[in-house]
Amino acid sequence: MRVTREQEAQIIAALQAAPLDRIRLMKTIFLAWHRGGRREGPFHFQPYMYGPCAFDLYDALADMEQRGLVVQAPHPVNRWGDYYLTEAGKQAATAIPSDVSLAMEPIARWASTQGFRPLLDAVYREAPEFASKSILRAQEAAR
Amino acid sequence: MTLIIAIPAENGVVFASDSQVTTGAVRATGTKIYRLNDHAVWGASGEVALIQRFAEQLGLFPNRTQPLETIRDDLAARVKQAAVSCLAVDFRTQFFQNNPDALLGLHPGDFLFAECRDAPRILHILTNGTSEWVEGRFAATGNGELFAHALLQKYASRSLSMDQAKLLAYKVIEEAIEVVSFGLGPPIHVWEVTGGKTRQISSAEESALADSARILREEEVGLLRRLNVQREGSTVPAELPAGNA
Repeated sequence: MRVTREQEAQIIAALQAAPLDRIRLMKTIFLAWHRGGRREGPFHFQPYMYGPCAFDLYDALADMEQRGLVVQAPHPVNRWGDYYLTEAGKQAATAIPSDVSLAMEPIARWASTQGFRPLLDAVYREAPEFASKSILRAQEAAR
Repeated sequence: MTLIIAIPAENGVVFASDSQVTTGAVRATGTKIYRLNDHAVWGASGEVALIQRFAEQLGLFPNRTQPLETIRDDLAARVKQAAVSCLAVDFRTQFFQNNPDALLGLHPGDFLFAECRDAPRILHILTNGTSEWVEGRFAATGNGELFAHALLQKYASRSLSMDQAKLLAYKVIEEAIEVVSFGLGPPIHVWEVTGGKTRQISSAEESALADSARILREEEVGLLRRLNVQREGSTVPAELPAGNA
């Protein structure tokens, strides 16, 4: 599936602010969408086992990686590494609308410093309906 | 070298495998799970030549769409036939004519089938032609099998949703790939075997499973750490008095 320009812009804007692994990238883009009033967006979020998940984000990342806009750093566990913008990705970043960058930058910087639990706790506080299938929420309920 | 896992769930079976194919010192990526019909899949560990011969036999089998219960013995016969045909062309066979176990060891193989019609079913077939139903628990085959049993044992008698079973299958294979010295490798393939909707999950779904498994792994470590903090902060002595052990 070919990534749309809107999808590409959001991913590039987030990674321009900070290299992110897939989980932090997913939550960054979700929070930007949520805080922006949940208008019709390029990604389609649904509750999943680790909170809000847009399956189309994975396809978009794969497409951008194939086209040389982003690269995933090596990691001992397959696909746990952070994504970085390549030179081509940085070039593409110059054409990103400023409102997209402004919305994404503070969230991406914050997310890059968070452990998974604090990150997910923050997401669930803001959007509890996306925790309905969460592994962590299930653990909380079981206590 | 392989790890294939079948985990029964509330409304089906999750069937998952690593995808490394090892030939001598060379590794490649390949498919290890195959559709039998709309209700069932199969996979095997062992020698590639044997598995290929079985797949060829299966392609000629007209009743492959029938329930496993109906075709169990036919499938077992085809596994045995594949083993026999491998032995027929192997020059080593002549040296082991009086030792059937050694003969079977020349072309090892272990076959798992999963089906969901009215209920989830798992069938295990050996190259000697015998078969067994795996009732109410998971099954695993391949050189990573022991890791799967160790990691899954605590869930053996628990009822799992399809999502939970997929997550567990993914996580177990991922952890086995990290630990096993050779023969296992990514990507991890996951199939949902449900009544009439048997399918391999998409690469995006597989990525989401990988991220969920990562959260679960982090949370396992975090849980232990939090227990430690609670212990340090509690009034219970860290070590029990002598005689209370």
